[in-house]
Amino acid sequence: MVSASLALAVNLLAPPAHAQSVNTDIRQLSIEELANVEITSVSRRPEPLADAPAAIFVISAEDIRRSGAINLPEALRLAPNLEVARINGFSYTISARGFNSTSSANKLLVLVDGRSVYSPLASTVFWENLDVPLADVARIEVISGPGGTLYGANAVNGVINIVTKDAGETQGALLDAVAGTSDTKVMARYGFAPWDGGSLRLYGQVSHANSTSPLSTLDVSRTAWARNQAGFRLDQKLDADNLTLQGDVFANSEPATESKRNRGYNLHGRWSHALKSGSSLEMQVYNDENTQIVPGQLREQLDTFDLQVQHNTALWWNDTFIWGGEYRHSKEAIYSSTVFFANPVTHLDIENLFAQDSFRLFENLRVTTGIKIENSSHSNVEFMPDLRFTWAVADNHMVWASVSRAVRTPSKIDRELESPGVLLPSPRFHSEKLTAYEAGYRGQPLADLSLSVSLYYNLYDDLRTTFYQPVTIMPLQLRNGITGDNYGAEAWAKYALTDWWRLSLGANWLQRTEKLKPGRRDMTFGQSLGQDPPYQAQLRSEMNLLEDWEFDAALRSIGHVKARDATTGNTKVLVGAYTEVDLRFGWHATKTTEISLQGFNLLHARHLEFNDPSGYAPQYVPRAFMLNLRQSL
Amino acid sequence: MRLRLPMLALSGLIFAVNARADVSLEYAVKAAYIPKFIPFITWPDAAFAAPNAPVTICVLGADPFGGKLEQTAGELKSGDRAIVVRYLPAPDASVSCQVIFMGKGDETIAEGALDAVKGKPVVTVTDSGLKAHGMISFVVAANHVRFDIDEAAAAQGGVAISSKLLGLARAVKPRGQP
Repeated sequence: MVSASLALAVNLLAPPAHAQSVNTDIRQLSIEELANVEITSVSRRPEPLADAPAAIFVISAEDIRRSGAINLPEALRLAPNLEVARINGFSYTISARGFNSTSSANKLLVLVDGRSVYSPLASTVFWENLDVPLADVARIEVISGPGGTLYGANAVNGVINIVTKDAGETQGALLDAVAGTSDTKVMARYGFAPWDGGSLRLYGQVSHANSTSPLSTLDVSRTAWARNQAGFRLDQKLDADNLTLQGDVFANSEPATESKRNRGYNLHGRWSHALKSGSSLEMQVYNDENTQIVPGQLREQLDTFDLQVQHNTALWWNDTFIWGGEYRHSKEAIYSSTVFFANPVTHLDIENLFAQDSFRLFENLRVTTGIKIENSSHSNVEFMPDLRFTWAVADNHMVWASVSRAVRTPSKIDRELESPGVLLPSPRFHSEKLTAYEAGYRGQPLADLSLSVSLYYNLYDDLRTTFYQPVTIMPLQLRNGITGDNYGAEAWAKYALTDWWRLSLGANWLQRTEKLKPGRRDMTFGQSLGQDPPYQAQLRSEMNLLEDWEFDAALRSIGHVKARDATTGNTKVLVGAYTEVDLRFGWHATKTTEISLQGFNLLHARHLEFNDPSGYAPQYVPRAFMLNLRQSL
Repeated sequence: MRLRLPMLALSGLIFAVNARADVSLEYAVKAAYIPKFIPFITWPDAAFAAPNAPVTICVLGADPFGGKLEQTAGELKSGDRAIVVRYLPAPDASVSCQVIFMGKGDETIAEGALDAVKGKPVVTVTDSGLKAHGMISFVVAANHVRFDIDEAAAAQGGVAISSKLLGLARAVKPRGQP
């Protein structure tokens, strides 16, 4: 898949949120808004998101603004199909359908405009370095469930697609400044048209998040986070071609102690070409480099080059066929004084080919089927097939079902990490596998009510264990040894009570059963599988008061996290259930000035969201107040 | 004012199901545009049979909108005037149209119709992909539906197009240009 929105054009995942052929709502858009509706996402057969046979939740730019989110992970709390837990000042862990912890949230793929920010080196996403300016985000598409056929390996439990605005939509100057009890941020952007058909934006963003307070008096770690990032995006429109070139550069650090320093850059080009036949061709290439340094202990460096090509066409009448391929090369280097790699520098090569076709089997029944075949130098050839059905039951009511397979491929850490006497390397560690059965309903039971319900049954195999020796315990070894049998449900609804008051409700529920395979052992049973609350629920209210005022409220309630103690085998509550409330008053002082006062986590002075003894020391998330100014020129 | 895009609209966009998926999004967008142009356009009084006569949008040839145009039109008014849609298989001088939409069907029909209403207070709207251009011509550029305005042709027909709409157009051919 070439770009995020591109892949979405296809079936599994619909085109841009506003690209839906849902005419009732298209009709309500103003002329300005109509001009921004993306009508064909390359396949030239735009699909209503309503028809996408997957659990997809779209966070719009407006949702983000009204949430008052200061950073990307906070904005992701809007998605009812995600688990978002803040660990400390800089770190978050995010997952879908379980496995949420710093070491196990390795089954969620995250893309920014089609560029993967999932680290194959550590099998995780370093959220602290993903500082996309929220004012430039067009939408975030959150898919829970496998997306391997289009997105490839590691899209096991979900995919997050962050889509930034076209440079043409961000013309002029913008200042977005936040001052608060725990965060400050200043973002400045300037967009202009350097020549005919071209638009360019430049931005810079500086932010600071305070260190959070520790659970344990023994924890003296400082987790403040100072970020500096700048970047650009250039879009060039030609008759049948769109060209995009974008890039970012960042340098982040723990400011007081310099105990953690990260830096990196990316440069990313995309080209799409509409062919006369109505089909289209897309290509993208990027280079992404980032370095993480823990002085005296660790230096991690990942340098990735990626090339993707995709062709969207039709095989016969009225179907949508897409196929393409990808080549990726990553140079992975870890130099550490605490852990050891026989080869500090390794090279990861990934090649894949995929094809997917979507066709109407009967008037109301559409079938989407495809496969991705991926070869990685860290694992064997993997097959990721997918079969999906969409049944339009009636006007405004759709039911979908799917069965698919996805894999989480081994990382350098899985296979090569060693520590003499303590940990053996695991050269035979192979992919973790998922076979997922899903079904869902999406529709509009009432004119002002939209509803989505998804059910899933996930069968995992070869999940990672920490094997210990029968008598001596040490040395440990990472192995594939757990099967999982998980099921759950996700639901969300949006209801417009009046034209000035809107409610959104979202919830998920997860039931997990994991078992050790015969003869296997696990040192940290439970912990290595993540920390998941059995339920999460949220209610959001957005009111437009008078002409210029907005009053927004969000309530979220998260169940407790239990884990089995590695030594005693008893289960205990690691993170208590919590309920929190956020409030926001927004005032559009002038056409170009917006001032808002925001309060986060108002019910308690502090609360705990995450407590994994094997990860960062647990720290409390504080109550926070922020004042935000957005000034455009 | 600021983009006060009702969340409702967006949520609907995301979730609603369109069982009649035959009309592409492109034409749904175009069908939403056309009636929304009307409040920005001023016709001479002589263009209407009566002070309260409706603004009539005529769709020439095949209907690419699958009935969607009527739905939008039915929800809007222009001042005191209702907005109605007529479908004309061929140009018909006996029908009073204030807006004529010419679809992609036949280039010669479109050209003939443009000629026939030239200099008259009839706002001609041409589909994207046509060689012939009306006062308003749709353009599909970079996956977005935009429109160009030929203000000179409008002025020739005695039709005034507000500067707001001109500002929203992708390109404007100003008055006084051949």
